[in-house]
Amino acid sequence: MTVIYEESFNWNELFVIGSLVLTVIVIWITPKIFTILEGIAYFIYGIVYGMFYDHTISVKPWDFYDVNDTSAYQVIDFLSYVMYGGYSYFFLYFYEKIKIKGLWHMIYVLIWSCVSLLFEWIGVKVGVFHFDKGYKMYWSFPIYIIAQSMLIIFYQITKRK
Amino acid sequence: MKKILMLSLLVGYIFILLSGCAQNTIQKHYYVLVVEGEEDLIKEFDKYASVKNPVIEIDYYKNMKDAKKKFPSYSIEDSPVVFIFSISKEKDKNLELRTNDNDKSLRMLKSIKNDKS
Repeated sequence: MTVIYEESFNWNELFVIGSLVLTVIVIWITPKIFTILEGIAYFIYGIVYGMFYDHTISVKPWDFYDVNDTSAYQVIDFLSYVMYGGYSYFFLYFYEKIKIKGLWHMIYVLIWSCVSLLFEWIGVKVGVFHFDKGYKMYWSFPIYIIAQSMLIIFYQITKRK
Repeated sequence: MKKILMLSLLVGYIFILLSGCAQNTIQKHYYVLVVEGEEDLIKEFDKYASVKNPVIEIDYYKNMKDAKKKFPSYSIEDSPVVFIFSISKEKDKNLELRTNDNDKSLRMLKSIKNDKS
């Protein structure tokens, strides 16, 4: 079944394209602290993680929610996954800039998880996410904590190499 | 030994292909258009969507304005409204039911799904 929430070019498309363009521009103009290969890897991590979770819990048998205008896969859905890349890049960018150590790891992950929830809430309001099928926003909180903790582990492993 | 293995693989492959062709059931095909009213019935209708015989393709519109724009010839003036079409072999749509009663449309979908003959 295809659920059609709306079919016009409006806030959800603007949010996705705007976020994507803005993050790419800011990545471009900020001083580079990673090698190109590292930067690409951290960017791709966000895309892969977003796709992995969306394609696990937003499709049958769970099918908790839909993304963007319809429940069918569209170009804007693909762009919304690419959008996650900028967030994972900046997660590690500030992690490295601030030089997070020890217990601050937990606080850093908690702050980013709260910020992620805030962005998700905005996403719901503008029509990027549709939770009509029963998904509760707070379910995302542990997912963000796991995703960000794994990203830090991934970063530490790449830094050692 | 290698030749026997290759030959058995080839025979198995051809057998799978031919068994796929052997199915001779008449595929029934329906298209359902739902325009939501005050009640969210995504889960209710989703139960009847099917890709196997009978194929039941469902488009569920949350917004009447979009449905009216997409299907101007259906004269959609109020919601909820459900259209059930049967699709012929020539891909023509025949309207089987148009109703503002969700329960009536769900009952019909149930009977369509149970009628697999």
